[in-house]
Amino acid sequence: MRKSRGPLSERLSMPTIFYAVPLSAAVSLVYCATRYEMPSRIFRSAAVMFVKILIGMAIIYGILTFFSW
Amino acid sequence: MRDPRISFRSRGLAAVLALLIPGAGHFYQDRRVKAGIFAVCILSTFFAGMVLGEWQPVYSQVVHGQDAHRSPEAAQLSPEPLKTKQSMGYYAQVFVGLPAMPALIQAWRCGRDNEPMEVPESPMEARFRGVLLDDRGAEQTFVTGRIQMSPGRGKTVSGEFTGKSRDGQPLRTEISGRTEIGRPVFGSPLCEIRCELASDDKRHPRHLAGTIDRPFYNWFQAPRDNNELDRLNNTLSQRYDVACVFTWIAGLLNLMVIWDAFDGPAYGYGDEKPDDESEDD
Repeated sequence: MRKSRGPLSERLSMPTIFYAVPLSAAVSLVYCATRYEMPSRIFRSAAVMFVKILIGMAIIYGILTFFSW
Repeated sequence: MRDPRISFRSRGLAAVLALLIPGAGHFYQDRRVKAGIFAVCILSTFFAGMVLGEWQPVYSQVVHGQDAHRSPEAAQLSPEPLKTKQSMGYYAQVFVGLPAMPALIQAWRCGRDNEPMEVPESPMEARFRGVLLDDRGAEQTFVTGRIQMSPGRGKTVSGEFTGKSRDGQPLRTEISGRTEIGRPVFGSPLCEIRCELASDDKRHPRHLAGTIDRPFYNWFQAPRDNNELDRLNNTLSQRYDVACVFTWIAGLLNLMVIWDAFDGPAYGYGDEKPDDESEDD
């Protein structure tokens, strides 16, 4: 018998913090695409912004984890 | 000042197209790369939120003040007109455009000719989950199964329930008498139902109270009450909050896209000399 696999949302389930990664990528790309017209400039500045967001969130995550220890 | 190398065509029309479908305005202006970025990023963010929230994060109105503290099914079964207020989250979601528009149609449908039913319009069969209540309304046991019913004389129905109780005992019982079925259009995939079971003692009938499935087109993006929101938070937990955030952000991102379609990129074309570059990122 085929095993029930549950709704798609359950199969995509992962720790909440990791949802921030694709979301940050989308936000970086859209934000930078509304700042510039040239594709190479858009992708370059989006990559920088994406890394900066992740580093910023990691720092905040670390601080919050430290204070909730 | 707008860059002369960018073809804006009709800026107003481009902005309207961008509002309807993310990226459509840029596609119309022949700015294909940006159209692709906007369409993929915004629509995938929006639909990722929809999937995570089991297609329920978007709704334009919340039902309130419907004897919500009296019983959990009050808003669905109450004959009183629904009192609604705007959902704050929808002010962000609406900017995604067409994918969030069904919420407005559902709010309109929910507000007109949408009373709870005493008799099904036609013979029906549906999956049922709920409880068997004794003559005093006290819960006897949890039951699951299928319910079949058809309109009877006057405001009564006839039919039967076949299923099993929580402890696996098969159960088959005749439905006869008064029935209450929740509003046809309501923002929950679960339609409340309460029906009287056939009994020798007409003064003290037993009841089935629970839920049957509501068709997708009757609950998708429709107004819901706090009981349904509580149920979603209970079943999906943090995932529902993440889903809402995804859909809000998708809508807010499209605001920038609409402006870009209307007035061009904020910092310029992007090939300016380094001395002229602003420290944006």
